[in-house]
Amino acid sequence: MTTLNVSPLTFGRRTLLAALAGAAVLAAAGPAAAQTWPNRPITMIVPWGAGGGTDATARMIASLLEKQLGVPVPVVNRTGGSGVVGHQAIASAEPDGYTIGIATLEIGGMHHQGLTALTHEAYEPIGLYNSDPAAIFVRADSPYKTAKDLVDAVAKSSDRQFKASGSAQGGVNHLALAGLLKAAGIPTARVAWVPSEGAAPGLQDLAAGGVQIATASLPEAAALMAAGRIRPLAILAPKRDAAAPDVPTLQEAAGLAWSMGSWRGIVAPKGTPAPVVARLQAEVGKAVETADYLNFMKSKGYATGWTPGEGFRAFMVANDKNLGETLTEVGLKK
Amino acid sequence: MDAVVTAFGMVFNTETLLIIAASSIYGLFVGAVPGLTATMALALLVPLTFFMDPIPALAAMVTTSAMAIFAGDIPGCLLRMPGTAASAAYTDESFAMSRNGHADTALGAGLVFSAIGGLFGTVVLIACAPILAEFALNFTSFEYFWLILLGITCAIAISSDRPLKGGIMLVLGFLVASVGLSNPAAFPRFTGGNTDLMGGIGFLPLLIGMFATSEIIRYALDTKARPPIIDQPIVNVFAGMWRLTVKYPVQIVRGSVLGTVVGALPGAGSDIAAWMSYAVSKKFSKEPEKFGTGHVEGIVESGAANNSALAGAWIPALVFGIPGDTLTAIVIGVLYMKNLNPGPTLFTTNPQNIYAIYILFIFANLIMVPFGWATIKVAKRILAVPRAILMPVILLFCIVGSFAMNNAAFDIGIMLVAGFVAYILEENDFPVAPAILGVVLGPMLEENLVKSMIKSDGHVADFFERPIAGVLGVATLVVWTWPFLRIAIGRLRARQPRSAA
Amino acid sequence: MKIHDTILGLIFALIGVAVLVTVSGYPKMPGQDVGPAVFPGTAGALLTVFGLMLFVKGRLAPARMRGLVEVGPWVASPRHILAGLATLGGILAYTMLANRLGFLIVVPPLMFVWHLTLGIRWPTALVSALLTTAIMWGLFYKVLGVPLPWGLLTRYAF
Repeated sequence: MTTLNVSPLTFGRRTLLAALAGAAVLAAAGPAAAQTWPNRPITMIVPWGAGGGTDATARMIASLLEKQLGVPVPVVNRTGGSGVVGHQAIASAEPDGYTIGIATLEIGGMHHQGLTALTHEAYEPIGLYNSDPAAIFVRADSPYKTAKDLVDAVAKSSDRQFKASGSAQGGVNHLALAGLLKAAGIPTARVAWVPSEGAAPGLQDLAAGGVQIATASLPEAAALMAAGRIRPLAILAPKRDAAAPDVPTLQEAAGLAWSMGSWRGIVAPKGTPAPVVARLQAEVGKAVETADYLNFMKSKGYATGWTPGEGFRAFMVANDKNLGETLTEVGLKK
Repeated sequence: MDAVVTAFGMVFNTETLLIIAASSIYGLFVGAVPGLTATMALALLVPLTFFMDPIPALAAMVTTSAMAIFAGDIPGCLLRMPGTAASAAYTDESFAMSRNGHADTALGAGLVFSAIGGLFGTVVLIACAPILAEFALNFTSFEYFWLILLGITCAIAISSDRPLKGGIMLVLGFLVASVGLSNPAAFPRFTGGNTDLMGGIGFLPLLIGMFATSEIIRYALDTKARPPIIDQPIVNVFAGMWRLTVKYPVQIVRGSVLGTVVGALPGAGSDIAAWMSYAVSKKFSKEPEKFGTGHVEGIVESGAANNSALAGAWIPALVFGIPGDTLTAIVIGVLYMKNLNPGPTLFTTNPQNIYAIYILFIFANLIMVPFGWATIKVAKRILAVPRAILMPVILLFCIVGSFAMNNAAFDIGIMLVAGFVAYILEENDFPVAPAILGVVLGPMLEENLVKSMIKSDGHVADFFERPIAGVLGVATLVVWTWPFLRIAIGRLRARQPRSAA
Repeated sequence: MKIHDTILGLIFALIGVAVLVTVSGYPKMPGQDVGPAVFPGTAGALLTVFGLMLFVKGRLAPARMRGLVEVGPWVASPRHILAGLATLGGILAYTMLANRLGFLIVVPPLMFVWHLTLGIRWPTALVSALLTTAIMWGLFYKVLGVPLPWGLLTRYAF
């Protein structure tokens, strides 16, 4: 079947190019439009599936923007390819302020992995609105009581004796663990990574005894923690989480300085007119301080915050460098 | 208890109830029109559920499938054309009843015993699923690997009289699911460097193509004239139903049990359940000679069976994420889209969702009775709707529906190719259901295979080390080698007397 | 359209071989012994074997078909040929034209033609075509927010 769909594909491409060319001509009418922006629907592209965390937060912000701007803000999920497809779709959209999107942590890693040439430089940063640090978990009946116990045991173990899970190969939770090992001076190949389709199956594998270690964010692990099947040892962040004040930071628990977690921010395609970008920064900034938004994020267990514009750009640059180093360590850098 | 109350709130609100009412009418209509299958009804519903909240989306799926399976009886009875495959087993029987002037009894039995069978299956679902889920919490990738393998093996072996062609379709499904970056290694496979293919071949356009577009192509090329409707007044649908219940209690229970069990087996759904029940009913009947001449007994039993199979199929779907039939394969796709990933954690994380599903099943089977009654009353008018008008409308829906999820014209191309290929293969007696099983289960199978291989570090014995994994593994190997084993045992037996002599 | 099992078997076997050739170049996952080739490779091998089995079965089975390819009775009916072509060609036309011309321009004539080729008379076809377009547009564009293309009508978008 796969070999057969060549013809509709080529047609699809060609139409797309034609449409893009047409749109480019229209957009040449340019800057004057900024004063009247927005006068038609603004599409928000989400590179992850409907119903997931990124999608839920995006839809919340979209509904608030809709109220504030007075135009519809439809959310479009362009999923697949570990986020490449959606991130690419935002970057290649017309930079007229009528397409914005959500960028996530993966934008800093995918080009190091050779999946795409796309980097954060293809975007105008609007603002970072969420980041959830990863935490390290063991089974409830595990002999390791603290992160230090675990790190010491891993340091003494033979290669691949410990197995860990929590995300795809090269996913955020894999990199979180790899960076931890690196910070502790342990070769990353010491612990075998068992890739899983997201955090939930990885944590379930931990609960069932398939692996000994798992990394995931606290909200992702809430259910199995509540059921008493798994235990958090430390959170990979500089500060403790307000929602789980009992969980120590990695620094406190094992004396290691390493932090990693997923994040979500709003971006526009590069070349979006500066006045429009400024307006978007102001409007999204307003939306993420509303009580509606804050309550929603709290109920889902997501962290909140707001780092607009250049601060967000600096964050993405640092994130890119950080991921590049860790990926090199794990051997996933191309 | 809180969760149960929440669940009631999730089902009994205006939005969900409106959706249930609309999907009832939709399911009854699609089921009643010959050539439009229950699977097609569900496939076309997916693009709409995409825009709904999880519970209304599930409400739409549950109601539509239950209604469509029942409504498939109607054209079978009046036109001798089963509306859905699940009614095919007793189409001749109920048509014979119509010709004898008993159309109302045939339809009434189909309706009432469908509802009873559906409720029975639901009770089993409610009783078994949580226990199994508790059990499944201790499953690692080894157990899942064998469970999936055993499931698809049984699906090919049981549900198809053409295992070789079924196997080819399954493997094609695996390969289609392999396209793109979504694999444990996040390595782009079979993409030819194309960005659209990086994201993989979309489930939704595939589904619409295979189950709706292919039917339209078939209709466009169909030269057969359509049979006339049996014209006889349908007076009292419910008359005599109590008498039938008292007369055939064993048949009702037997049909419901068999249906639930067959439904719960991966790959075998309502249609297989109905065929098997009808055969069982005839075998154990006191008056088997009456079967085929317009005798209601078989309709009672297999009518209960095909609807109980619906609920039964949800057991492995919810607990393990392994579909019991094509309809639940679609449902699993929707569950993933709604971030209600099936699996034992679904029961612990959000129990209210599970309770809401139970409530939906009970509710759908209860309202089936009045809604079904109304449909039977207007059946002749539904059957008179010209399909030549419906088909283009459905085709447009296929196009827009394929486009809706990713807003990509590329997906319409996938829909077209999938529809055309499915049409050609079905013409050549290739069953389509295994392909969709392959698409849904392929990624799961691969993930668990890769995980298990990594964990075992190359020791095959690890695949059998954990007790449940060992049992499932041995069972799978026995099913695979059964034909050879039988020959071997036969040879041994044949040799024994000689060596004794 | 019926195609003889021997031909289909060969086609599947060839697809299987093509898959095997493609995956043979796939790398292993860094630091692991398995890689992205394991699963599709196994599937490709199975497809090759199953395809060859189908081929052999087709050779051994008594001939039920007159030739290797047998078309249905529709081949004798111009209306059915037209209907089949319109179905496939119509979808293709939509994918090529919708973005450029717009949903509202492409769909009504398409629906009209589909109705005609299926034997509906033109007044009914016209009404149904316009009505369906309007309903589908309202449902998907207005209610569900799917960005159906405006094409030439972008300026008049509402």
